[in-house]
Amino acid sequence: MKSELDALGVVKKFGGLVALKGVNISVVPSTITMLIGPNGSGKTTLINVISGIYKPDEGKVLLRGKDITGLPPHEVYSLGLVRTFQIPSPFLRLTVLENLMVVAKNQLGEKPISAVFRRRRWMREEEELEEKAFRVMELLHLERLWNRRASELSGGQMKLLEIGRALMSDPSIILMDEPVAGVNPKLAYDIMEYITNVRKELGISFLIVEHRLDIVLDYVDYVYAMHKGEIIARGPPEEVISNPSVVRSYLGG
Amino acid sequence: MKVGLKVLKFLPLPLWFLALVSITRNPIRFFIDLASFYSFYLMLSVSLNLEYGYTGIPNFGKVMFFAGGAFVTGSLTARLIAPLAGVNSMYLANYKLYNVIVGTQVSTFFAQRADIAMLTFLLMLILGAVVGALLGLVASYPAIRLREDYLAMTLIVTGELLRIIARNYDPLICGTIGVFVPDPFRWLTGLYHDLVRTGVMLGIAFSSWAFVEALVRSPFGRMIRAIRENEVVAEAFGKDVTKVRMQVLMVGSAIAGVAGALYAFYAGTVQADDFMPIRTFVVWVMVILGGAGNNAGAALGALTYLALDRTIVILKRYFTTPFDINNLSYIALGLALVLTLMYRPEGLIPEKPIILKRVRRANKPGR
Ligand SMILES: Nc1ncnc2c1ncn2[C@@H]1O[C@H](COP(=O)(O)OP(=O)(O)O)[C@@H](O)[C@H]1O
Ligand SMILES: [Mg+2]
Repeated sequence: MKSELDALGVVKKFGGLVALKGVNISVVPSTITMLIGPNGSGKTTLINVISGIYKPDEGKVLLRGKDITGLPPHEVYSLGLVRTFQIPSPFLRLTVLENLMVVAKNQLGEKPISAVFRRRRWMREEEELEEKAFRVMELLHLERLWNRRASELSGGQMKLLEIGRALMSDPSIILMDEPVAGVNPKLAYDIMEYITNVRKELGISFLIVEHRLDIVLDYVDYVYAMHKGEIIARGPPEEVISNPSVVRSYLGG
Repeated sequence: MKVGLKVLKFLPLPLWFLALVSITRNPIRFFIDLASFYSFYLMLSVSLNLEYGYTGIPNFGKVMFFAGGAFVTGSLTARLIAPLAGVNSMYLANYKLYNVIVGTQVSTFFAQRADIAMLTFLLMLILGAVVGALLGLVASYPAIRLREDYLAMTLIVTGELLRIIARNYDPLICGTIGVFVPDPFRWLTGLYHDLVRTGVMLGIAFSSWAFVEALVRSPFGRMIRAIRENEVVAEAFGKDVTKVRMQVLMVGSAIAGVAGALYAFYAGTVQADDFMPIRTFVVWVMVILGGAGNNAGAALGALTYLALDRTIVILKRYFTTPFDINNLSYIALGLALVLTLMYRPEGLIPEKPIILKRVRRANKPGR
């Protein structure tokens, strides 16, 4: 079966530090794949390389078989790959609604000339976008906050907004960097339920980086464990977390 | 009621102007001057607001784009029309020496041919916009990929570039001496002349304002504000940050270029040293004073600055100081900036969320 996403032998160096030492992972379409590993093992760096924020020193990234290595992030995004940020990064002085609407692709009103002279045309697009944004907000229970600036949200609400924003662009795969870290358990379970539903209904694939194994593990199909820039184990969840080298890496190695 | 009170807040400004008028010898002159200066400054502040207030581009080179429009107007207007006006070509050969003669003869020609005069005026405005936009493109090209702080430094330096070229390359605007610019409104006389010219300038300025306002109240405006908030995240969510910044700098600089062309016609002369970096900072003060990220703020900021500036101009006539009184305007400017940043960092009119369209839904929850 063709895979949704492949990283092939990805190497990333920061000066003398080799943060990724030839990482191979792949994500099967419509599955939730998880990436675990202790702090500093290179998970965020891998997401940054895949989403185009960093260029790898070696190796390739394929999206549905297409080579996207080294493409700028906005082009990767337009091909259907979205990522969220470990530290929630909403556009702070934009409202919740604006944060969602701004990320929609191919907006006519984003071309400067059309913005001024074809108002009627893009207004129709805006109406549809707004409806969609409200559907996303309802799913995440953010609708009452639509007119708030993102800077007024709590940490948990920002996490939700981060997820909502990822859903707005109709992606085929979402990379999530610690979506439930620092979120209360109830909300964390809700978020995971929600992700599972989205996967089921829309067939979106997920690559989730997470520390909170207790919460996330029940929901995932496949797990990669990373340590010091290398994949040290891969397989179904139970198998990977009982792998002795994984346990050792977490215990401090 | 609430709106009424809000308007009252800004009452001191018109009152201040009235007070100024009452001590000036020629109130009509005063208003015409004020309106003329306001039109350039409005264009500069609204375009800087687009660049900095909405997009976060620290354009510390603003004056260069203004100069671009002024220089092209100063350099070309008289020379272009001279053959039509029957100016002796000997004068054109030594333009540095004879530009006043050429310009005066072209002005006289404009007095008879309103049609050609207005076409020339229009052509120069368009050229000003084109030159501004091109300069925006050129200045942004190496710099726009840089982080904000490096971008600011690069723009500060490039901002001086054009002035220094113009000073040292005589064919452009006759070096340090400056060049005479013919008056395309010469076919009008007396008060009419001044009123029409200033009216046209104000009209162009407010059109630019309306253009920028329409531009920011759109998905484009939402996108540039997102880029301002976090360029890495905006890029990750599909925005081509480099391209968008370039577009913004081109639009902003085109407006500044038109302002420069208007300024050249109004002043009747273009001198390189009239385009020192201080002009950039004056425009920055207007934007910060009025409120970045809000075009009403940019308009109010420009007006407030002018109130200060005109006051000092008038005071000059009544007082002699032991120091150069022009320093007073810099002091006032600096003071206004410091006070704003201390007590009202968001400016007189802070940024407000832009609501483009509310789809009417009965159950829509509100704030
Ligand atoms: N931009 C950077 N510059 C230098 N070193 C970095 C940079 N980003 C990450 N690193 C280093 O790379 C390693 C992996 O970091 P990271 O990918 O953030 O780990 P994780 O997300 O698994 O906690 C760490 O040692 C970190 O210090
Ligand atoms: Mg991380």
